[in-house]
Parts: sequence; structure tokens; C-alpha cells
Amino acid sequence: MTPTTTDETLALAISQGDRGALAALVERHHSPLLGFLDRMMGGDRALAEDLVQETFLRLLRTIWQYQYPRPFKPWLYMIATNLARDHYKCADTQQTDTLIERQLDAEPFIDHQPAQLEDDIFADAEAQQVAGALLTLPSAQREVVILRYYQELSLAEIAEALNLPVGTVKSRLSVGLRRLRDVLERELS
Amino acid sequence: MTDQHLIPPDFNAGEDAELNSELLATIHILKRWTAPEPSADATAHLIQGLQAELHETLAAFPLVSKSEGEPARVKVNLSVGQAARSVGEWNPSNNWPPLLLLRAQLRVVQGEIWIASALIMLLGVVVALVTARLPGEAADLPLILIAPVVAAAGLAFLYGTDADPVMEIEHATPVSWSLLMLTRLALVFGFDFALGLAGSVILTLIHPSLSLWPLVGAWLAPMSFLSAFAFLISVLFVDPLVGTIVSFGLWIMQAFLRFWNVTLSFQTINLPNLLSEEARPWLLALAIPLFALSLWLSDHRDSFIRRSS
Repeated sequence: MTPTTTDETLALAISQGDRGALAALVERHHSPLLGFLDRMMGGDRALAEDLVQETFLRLLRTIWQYQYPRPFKPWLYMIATNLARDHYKCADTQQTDTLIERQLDAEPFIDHQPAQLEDDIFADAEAQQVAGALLTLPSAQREVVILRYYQELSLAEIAEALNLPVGTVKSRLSVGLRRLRDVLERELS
Repeated sequence: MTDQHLIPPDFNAGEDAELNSELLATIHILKRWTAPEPSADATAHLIQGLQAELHETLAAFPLVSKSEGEPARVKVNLSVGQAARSVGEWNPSNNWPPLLLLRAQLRVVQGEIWIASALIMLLGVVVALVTARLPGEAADLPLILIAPVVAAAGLAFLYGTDADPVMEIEHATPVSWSLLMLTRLALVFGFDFALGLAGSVILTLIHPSLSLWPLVGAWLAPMSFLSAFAFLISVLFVDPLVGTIVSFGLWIMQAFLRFWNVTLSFQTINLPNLLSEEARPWLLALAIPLFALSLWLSDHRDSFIRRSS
């Protein structure tokens, strides 16, 4: 396996029992997948790590049906997105609302910190504001925004991952960005 | 490199320059949120666990050697349901492909469809039994009216992103999408047909004046047409709710035609009475091409998404 081996080739090799291909695939996608699920879960890293593991497990249990050379990345993020949605359906609404309120109420406390830490703390607070702003989006828009601007999937890949027409992906992206602009302007001012 | 590629492609840069700059600023703020990176140990631990899982998964499926010394790809069968169950439960003696496909899709179809269909059909039979005691009321009418809409709603909800919790399995399977959908259609329609038949048998046993097969024919033809119509609408709009609402609306209009014996017309076009005996052969004949069209559309939607990028 080389760094230039495609995901599709690795997936095919895994379906034939290649453990080295599995290691290469996980090393390649562990970090971005963790980032995706961390953002989907509003910064809950522990939960994101659990979902990453579950994503790979679910992938593995169906890998023997993989149709080469079907694009692998949309399939991976389809699984991850479905798991995130399942979590939302099972999560307690009160806990979710509390999480949103906690994120939105996070205030930068640069006025109370030494100057040399000001940049780090501002960055951390800004991250909390962004996380909170993303959580205010409906899940349908949040998925599209995160897949586009953090995972850098193309519109076609997002459409395939979410089983949507490309036009729907575009419209959700547009509406989601506008809402985020409004929320972030209010929270970061 | 310009950042304009970050802007959603449906924005007009010329007319919305100020909006574009605001949105670019928003996108840059978003991108400043960096997610945590997993440690090398965490990745190694994950790989170790997954490799053990891979070993167990593949141990459940025997390798098929195509030639000596050259292990072939793991034999793929239509055992889609095996992927959804825990490793180790697969029984090699039950691998007749159509049966495996039916069992696999049985696990994927929403459980609410079975329960709701049975309850509503039961309600129809009960109402039929109660109203039959009233003078001048047709004993079979509630069942004839309810059976088609139950099937239509059930089939409408077979299609759509919200209806399939394990859609990635379907996208990974070697079976065509249309064959999967046909299997689900057969399952749900067959279930509703069985419910309608059971209700009809009960009614004919209690009311000897009713004949079984004419009664079945009275609801089967509209059920076939309305189900196919609802499913087609769901596929066209990628929304089962639209399919349900439109088919219900059509059926409510038909109830008006039957109960009040009126003719609904728009300008010079008279809307047909789908509950009439004359309409039954046409309804059955129309159902088949409607189902075929729906399956073709649902199968080609994936290709359309990729080509439209």
C-alpha cells in the first residue's frame, strides 16, 4: 500500500481480508472522521470517538458487499451521518437544548485573563461560539455545511452521501450559511 | 487562490457582492474551528480492534478458490440481511437468494408500517361489522374504502432517506436498487393483501349475502392503483409524506363520488369513479406500468445525482 493507493482499492483489498489495507484506510480517515463527528455532536469528543468506532465497525460488517469502484468516501460519510442522526433521535431533547444553551451562552473572558493567553482563549471561545451556532441549524443543514466546509466533500459527493439531489444540497448549504452568518454576527459582536 | 470557490454556486457574485463578502467572512470563521486530532495510540488501538473484527467477519464467509494457490474474492451472495446481523448467525443452509432478499428487506422495512396497517385494517373490519347492523348500509363499504389507503400509505413510506435507517447497506449490496425496492413493495403489498383477505373472509362468514372474491376484487383493484400512484409520487418528490397526502386526497374525492353520487368535473372533464366495477380492470392495468416507472425512477436517481455534479 502506498499513499497514492485510492480508498476504493483499499476497500476492495479489505473485502478480501487484507489487514494492511484496513490499517491504511483507518489511518487515512480516522482524523477527518473524528473531526466530522465531533462537530456534528457539538464538540462532544467522547461521543464522537464512540461514533467513529461504530462507523468503522458498521463499515467492516458490510465491506464484503462493496462494489468496486463505487466512491468510498460518500459511503463512509453516509454511515457516519446515519449514526449521528440515530443518536439525535435517541438523545434526550432537554439535554440537547441544554447543550445549545451552554454553547450560545459561552462568553469570551479575555478581560479576565493575562494578555499572553488572550489569543488562545479568544480562539477557544470563538470555537465554542461556532459550535453553538452550528447546533442552532436544523440537522439537515448542519450536515451539509460540515461536509462541505470541514470535510471538503464536493457537492456531488455530499449528494451521494446524503442521498439527495444536488439542487437540494445547494439550497440547504445556502440557507444554512445565511443562518450561520446571522447567528455568528449576533454572538461574536 | 481566490476564495470565491467557497461561496455556494447559486449565488450571483455580481449582484450580491456585499452578501458574498459577508458569507466569505462566515465561512472563514467556520474554518477557524479546528477539531481535535486523535492520538497515534488511539488510532493504533482502533486499528487493532478493527482487524480482529475483520478476522471474525470474514471467518463467517468461506473463501471460494477460483484456481489453485489463488484465493478468490469472498463469495458474495444475496444475503444482504447477514450484514445487518451479528457475525456468527449466518446459516449456510438458508441461502436461496429470493428468500434471503425477502428476509433482509423484512428487517429494513419500518416496523410501524406493519403495526399501523394491521390496526387500521382491523378498524375497517370492526366498522364494517358495526355499520352492517344499520339498515340500508353496505357491509363491505368500510373495508373497500380503507384497504386501498392503508396499502397506499404503507408503500409511500417505503421510499425516502428518512425511511431507511441502514441505507448504506443497500448502497453497498451487489443487488440492484430496483430489485431491493421491488422486494419491499412485494412485502408490504403482500402483507396488506393478506390483511384485506382476512378481513374479507371475516365479513363473508358473518354476512352470507356477501361473496368473497367479488368483495376482494372491489378493494384489490383500487388498492393496486392507489399504492402504485402513492409510491410514484413518493419517488418523484423524494418524500413519502407527499405521496401519502396526494393519494389520500385522491381517495377522499372518490369517497365523495361514492357517498353522494355526484359527478366531479373540471370544465368538460369528468373525473372517473375509481370505485366503480367498470374501473377495476383499468386500475389493475394501470398499476403495473406505474410500479414499473417508479422502480425505474428510483433506480436511476443515483446515476442522476452523480451525472448532475
